[in-house]
Amino acid sequence: MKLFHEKLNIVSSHIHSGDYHLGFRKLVDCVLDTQDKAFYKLCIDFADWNESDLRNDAEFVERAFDLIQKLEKATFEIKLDKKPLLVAENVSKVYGRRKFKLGDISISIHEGDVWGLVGENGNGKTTLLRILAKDLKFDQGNLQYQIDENASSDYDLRTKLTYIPQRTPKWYGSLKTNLKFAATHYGIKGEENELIVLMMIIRFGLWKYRNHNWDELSSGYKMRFELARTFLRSPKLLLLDEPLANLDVLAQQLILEDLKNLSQSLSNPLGIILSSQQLFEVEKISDKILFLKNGAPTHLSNANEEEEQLTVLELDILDSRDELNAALERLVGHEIKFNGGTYLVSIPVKNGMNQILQALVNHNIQIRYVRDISQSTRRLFF
Amino acid sequence: MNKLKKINQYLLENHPITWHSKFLQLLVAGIFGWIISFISGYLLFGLSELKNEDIRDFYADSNFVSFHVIYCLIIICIWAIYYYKNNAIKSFYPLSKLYFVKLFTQLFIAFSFLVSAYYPFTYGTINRVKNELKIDETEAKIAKLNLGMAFVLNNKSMYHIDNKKEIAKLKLSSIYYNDISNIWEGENSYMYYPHKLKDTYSGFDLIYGDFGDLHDSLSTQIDNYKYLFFKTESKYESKDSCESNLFVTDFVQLPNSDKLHVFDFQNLNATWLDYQSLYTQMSTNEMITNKVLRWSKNHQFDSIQLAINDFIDVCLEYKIDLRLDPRMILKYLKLKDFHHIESITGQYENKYNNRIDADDFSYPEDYSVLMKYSNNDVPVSIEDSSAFVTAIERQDIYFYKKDQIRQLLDNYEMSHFNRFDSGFISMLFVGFFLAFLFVLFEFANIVSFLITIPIGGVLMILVALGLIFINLSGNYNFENYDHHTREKNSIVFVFCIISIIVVTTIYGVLSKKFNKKVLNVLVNMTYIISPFFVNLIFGMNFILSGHYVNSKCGVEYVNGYSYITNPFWILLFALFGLFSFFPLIKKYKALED
Repeated sequence: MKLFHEKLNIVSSHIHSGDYHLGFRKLVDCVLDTQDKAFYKLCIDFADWNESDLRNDAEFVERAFDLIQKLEKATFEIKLDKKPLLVAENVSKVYGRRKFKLGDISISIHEGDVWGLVGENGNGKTTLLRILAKDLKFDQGNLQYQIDENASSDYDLRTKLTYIPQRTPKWYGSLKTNLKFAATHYGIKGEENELIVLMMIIRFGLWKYRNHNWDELSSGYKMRFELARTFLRSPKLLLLDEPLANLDVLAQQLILEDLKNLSQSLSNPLGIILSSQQLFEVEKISDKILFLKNGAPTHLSNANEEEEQLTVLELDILDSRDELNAALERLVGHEIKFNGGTYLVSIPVKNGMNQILQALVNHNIQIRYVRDISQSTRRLFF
Repeated sequence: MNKLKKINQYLLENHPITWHSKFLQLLVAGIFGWIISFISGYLLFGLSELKNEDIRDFYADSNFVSFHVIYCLIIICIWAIYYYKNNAIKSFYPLSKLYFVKLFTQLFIAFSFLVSAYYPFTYGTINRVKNELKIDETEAKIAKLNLGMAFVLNNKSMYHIDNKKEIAKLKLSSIYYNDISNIWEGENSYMYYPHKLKDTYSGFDLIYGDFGDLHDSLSTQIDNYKYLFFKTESKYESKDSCESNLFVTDFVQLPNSDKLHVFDFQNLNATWLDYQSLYTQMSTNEMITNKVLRWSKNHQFDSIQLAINDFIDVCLEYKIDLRLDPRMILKYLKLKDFHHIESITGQYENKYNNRIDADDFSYPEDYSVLMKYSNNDVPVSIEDSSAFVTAIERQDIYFYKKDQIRQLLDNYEMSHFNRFDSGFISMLFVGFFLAFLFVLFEFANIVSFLITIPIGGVLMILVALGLIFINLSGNYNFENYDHHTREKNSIVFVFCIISIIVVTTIYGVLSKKFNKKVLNVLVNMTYIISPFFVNLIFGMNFILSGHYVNSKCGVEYVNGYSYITNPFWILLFALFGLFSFFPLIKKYKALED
């Protein structure tokens, strides 16, 4: 239970620091970890109060710590071993009029893993996700799922493989009713159904919207609904196609943070593959990145092993390219690329950002924007 | 309201199929429809309808049918909106065991309820008729009508009201050869007693068997009663015989006295239609006329007038359209009593085999009639009497609407004596169809279904062309036309096409080798075929087992298997076929594009 207590300490730390929203979300994660109805009820009462007009910070802190104290006594099974969920070996598919080839893709996903799938439009991200979700046939290779030992058919397997497309389908009726309907089919019945659904509503910040229908929700809340519905299904492998599209910056951060936390649930860890154009945000939470260019994969881990001696900056300046050339003239082995908007500057030095910046300052170059993308797939887009 | 919400919540949390199908809501709508229908049937069926509307047709004739159709459409539209809000299979939620069987059964029951308002409506009218026409009172009125009618009717189809009492049927023990099942079967036709005349006809169930040559005698004396037999069936004498005999299946008891009694006419009336088929030398009409004239001759005019008055009173009570003058009718009867017909000339003389039709003399334009008066009590000339009789018989000025009386009494019979055959099973077919349709769109893509329609149409055209080829190929002429062989070939051809579709679909779903778009169409077609498939197999058995055999009775065509015609079994096999299809759906839905 040490890991659980560490999580609770982090929650306490957030609340002490006044980060009430973040602390509350992480507290809900801890409650979900327990899988205990008694804690669910306490949490729901807390959330109900928290969303009411009676809420005040002092009482919030008091209630939160009261719940944390109770959670400290909770016992449940923690899953430490990260079981493999999916192994793809040389999976490929040729399709379309131009005989576009996706692959060969070889990946292995374990519980708790978050994979980022990046690449320009039309490079096969959605196709790959659909293949992995068993929604689309592939031509060659081998796909092995180790998600559900009891799955006796492909349909059973697909009930555990949750794929959320970029454009989520419209649903009808109230948000809560839809969640309850999903939960009931997954064998969550009676009182437990109500509790778990409410917990998911709380977890994804949908409390105020629980009786709303599809038309009344913004894109961000629609995505949150999809995630809530997905997590009700106790997924083992979650496949998300552009979940951050149509979300504002804050919502993107929240969703990514939630996904990361939920993937590392102590009681029900899951594997996540998400595609996105939000490179930096995705890279922030991903354990591994799969970059697709013309259908061909390039694996990158966050530790950039192949090119760790390289420093790459993305740069936007007010001055001309000639002046930039002049400024970097003395940096050995430097390279400059321009895509019409920003410059890509690289030098064969590890952590050489300061050197580049120094050279630019010395030549009085006016910098509008700079980012170190040495360990980001961003540089692969140039 | 809270209670309803709680029920809804309970179903959502514990019984997702029932919640999704909105079974309870549909059922409530159906029951509500039944209640409204019953009340409407009861209230709308008034005195005017009693004599003009058949209770079986009143639902269709009244405006209620429009209301019911609109009601069903509204309910189904509202229901469909909620039904399609959630779909477990399209979201790849785990499905409970027998998910589609449960879903279909619920929809089937609920829709059958919803669309079957005809029955409560008709039972409402039946109850109204029962209230309006109480048995004791109505029986007395019927007796009056029967008695009076004998005197006021005056055309060839006179005395045409069906007997108000079901004539008891003989319990016959006989065997006959079933051409279809190729076996000898026994048959018992059990009699039942009419409500009021049980005592009158007691003891009939002891009578069995063949009652002799019906051509030779009109009646048979049994236990001091005279019986007139009619309605026969041709049956084999024994299972080893090719000879058949006529067996009596229905009979009436003939009156023993000249006393004026309603049963005399009732019994005679019942013989009317079937009686003539026995080639007797006297028509019912004549028998009644003779009886009426005999009473007239006995100067029982007071009781006749009383009978006519009673008849008119009953008619007026139920507002039967009529214009009858008892005095004129009596005058007519008296006049006829003294007509003595001496001879008939003209083309009809031999055609009737020396039979004298007492009414025909009133049409001098057809043939000439010579008459003379044997009694001067009625001082009218021959021309006057002829014109008078003609006017009466043509009912130009004297009439009553017999159809209204018939309708009134038909309604009475259907209401009180359970003659109303509900045919409820036909509504089950409607319920089946609706449930079938809505379960289809539970898993089928609307686009793929729309594509299936033209493809299915083309396929049907090809099958039709194939059938034409089969039936017209070879040496086609009527003399050599082997009906059975061509029928066999046609059925086998259709069965093969359907089997190919079904087998290909099953293979495609299980092997995962087919293109999903092709499979979509195949699955849709197989789903549509599935309710017919088992019935088709039985049909195939029936057709293929047919062959010619040489028997003692000559060459016969026999079928080894029965063809299923009972709607209950057809429905049951349709359910079986459909339920056999359901396990495919999960496998089909899980297939990749």
